[in-house]
Amino acid sequence: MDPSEYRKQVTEELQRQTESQPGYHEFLDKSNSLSQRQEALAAGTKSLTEAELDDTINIIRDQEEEPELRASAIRSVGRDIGNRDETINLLLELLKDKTEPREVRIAALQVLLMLAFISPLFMSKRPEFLAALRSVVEDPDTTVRQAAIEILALEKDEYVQRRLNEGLDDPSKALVSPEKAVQMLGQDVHAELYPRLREMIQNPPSPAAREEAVRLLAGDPNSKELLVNLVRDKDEDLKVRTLSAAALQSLDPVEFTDQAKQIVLDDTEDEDLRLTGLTGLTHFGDQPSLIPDLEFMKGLERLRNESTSDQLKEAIDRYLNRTK
Amino acid sequence: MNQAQLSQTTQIIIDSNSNLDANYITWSPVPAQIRIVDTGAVTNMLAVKLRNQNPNQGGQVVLFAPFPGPGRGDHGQDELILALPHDGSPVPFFIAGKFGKPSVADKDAVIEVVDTSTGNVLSVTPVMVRIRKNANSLEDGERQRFLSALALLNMASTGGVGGFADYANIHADAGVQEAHGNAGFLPWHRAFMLDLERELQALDPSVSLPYWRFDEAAPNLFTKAFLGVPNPTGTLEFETNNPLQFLSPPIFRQPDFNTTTESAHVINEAGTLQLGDVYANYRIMEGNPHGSAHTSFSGLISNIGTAARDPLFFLLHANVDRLWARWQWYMQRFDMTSIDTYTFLGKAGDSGATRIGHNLLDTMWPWNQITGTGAFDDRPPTAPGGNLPRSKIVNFPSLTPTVGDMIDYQGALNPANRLGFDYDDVPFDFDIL
Repeated sequence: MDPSEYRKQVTEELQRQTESQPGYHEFLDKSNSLSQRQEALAAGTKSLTEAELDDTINIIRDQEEEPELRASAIRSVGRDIGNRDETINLLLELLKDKTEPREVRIAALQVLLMLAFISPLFMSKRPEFLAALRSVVEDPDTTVRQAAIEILALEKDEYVQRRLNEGLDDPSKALVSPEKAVQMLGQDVHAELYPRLREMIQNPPSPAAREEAVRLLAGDPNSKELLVNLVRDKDEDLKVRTLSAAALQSLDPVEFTDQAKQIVLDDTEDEDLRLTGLTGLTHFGDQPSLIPDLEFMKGLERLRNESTSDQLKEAIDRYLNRTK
Repeated sequence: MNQAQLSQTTQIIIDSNSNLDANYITWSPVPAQIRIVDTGAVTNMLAVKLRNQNPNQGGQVVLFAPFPGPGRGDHGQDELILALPHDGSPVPFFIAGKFGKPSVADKDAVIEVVDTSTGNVLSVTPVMVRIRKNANSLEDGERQRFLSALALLNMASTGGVGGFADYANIHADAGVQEAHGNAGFLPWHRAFMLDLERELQALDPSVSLPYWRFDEAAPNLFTKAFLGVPNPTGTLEFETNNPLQFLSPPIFRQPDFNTTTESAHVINEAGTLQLGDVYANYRIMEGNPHGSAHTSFSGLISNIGTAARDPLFFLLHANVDRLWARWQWYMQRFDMTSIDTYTFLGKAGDSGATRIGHNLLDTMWPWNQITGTGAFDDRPPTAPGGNLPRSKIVNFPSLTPTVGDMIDYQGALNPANRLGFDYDDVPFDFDIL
């Protein structure tokens, strides 16, 4: 397409959209329907004036308004409130207020997170933000509670780490599911976590927690033998075996290469596991041991000829292309 | 017939680079030259036609006569006739990717040179019209090459652990003030994306960084075959042939919207384009759509300190950069002497300047490798990641780029400023020349 013609098209499209967009006053007009007001909000592109911002904040505060509209209003003003201390305080209060609807609290949390990206002022508010999050880790609303715990875990917050460990020790104190707790603790892995994860493989609080534990063992040098055993055990759950193979690759690429070669050529193995093995070998295999291995190459060519799986054939082709 | 099979009577050299590995072009016109190499076979001036070998498949190029060259009156043509001296002297012309016709595979745009009198093919030159595309529309091969390079880069830079450790560290706490909350947000992230893309291209030169158009549903992106699907705990799961399954530590990301049918919680592209016609107004896009796209999920991507551990980060920011590029094109904002193009034209310490790293003439951390106290008005105490990687196709910017180096990315006003990338829906503005 000619670039000049393209510019004309874009200009016309913008004009069409501008003409069809409702004005911001349509959002403020309470006589309009919810959808009309939300549409007007979504169409707003310019920075709000101080007066418009005040009007919008009044709607955010107004508990008579629909929660959905208040949540949308919170999201829409995020970019305009970065330097207004009192508005950041309002968002912190909404997040902490258990009487507020979930939609409003989550929207407030999202905008607070966004301010961390864009607002120099927010850096000075971080201690208050983290305190607000800690105040809701036992919130009756599961969504709010879990969201707060996630953010604190990403911040490597010691308080929430202690609470998560307590929950794994004593399920009656658990703030989240055991698999979520493992995932969250995995955001700041300490050496003392690994024995707990290894124990979890033998005595898991849930199948999903076991899977999360396997993923994290990729960072534990003492888990190599355990992962090899999981990969090799044909009676083990297939997903756990596949995750163990991926974890082993990160932990010990040479050992992974050895195990993966055996799995790929073993016709009694599950196709998904063979594909994971082959994908790992293709991208991260230990090249010094792979390239001269003519037996393995012959085995792959046999497999390519005999397999009825298109996915496996494609994966073999990718491997051969990469190593030739 | 491929290049190896054909006895080449003529030779094309693009942008003074005889290394065929460098035959990657974008929408920006670049100088090229053609000459007769088999001078013994030709006794007189030879009239040749340059054209796309297959106008219906693969990337396409447009060609420009040497005089007056690309500009308001010449947006390029599909064929070009030139007269070549029999003594092998080169004849200049210009070449660019044809807007709307990017390559799908490596070197799938083939320039054919034919003798106008006999119709014989004298040479073929494969090039790639390498363009950043919408991730939701990538062909299988494009997606696989990108994922492979991404996984390999992570492995190479971190030894398999740490999840894009350098990139995550650069973007984390130390870099917050260098990259956010001020005018340099867009240029800094342009350099950040360029850094990653050049590293990917060092592994596979046919790869370009795709973008996540967050104001549209992207059902082909949030899949197990591409960027993963969260399990009930939020940890991403992948297909068994996706190399991202090996990312460690694992990524968790839970969308707050239906990725199959809805956009993220962002203003749309038209709205973004109309945020303002001068940079000072336009840059509020850092909040919405940029920040809003990040926080449309829970998980690593929503947290400034961890966002760059999630591969989605790079596709999200490629789109932020595309939106800026589109605004620059639409508003014609490439002139670095104008505050309409960029707000702070001087350097830190000048009257009216802003924080160091956000003025046009300031170098950008960490590529400048300058460290400081980490105070609000100083550089961070560490500078991870090294200088900006070099490109095989352009010589710009330097290893220590300035904010201003990111502005004229297509070389619209100064061809030497080309950064070597383009977007599928942002053309080169010939009318500005």
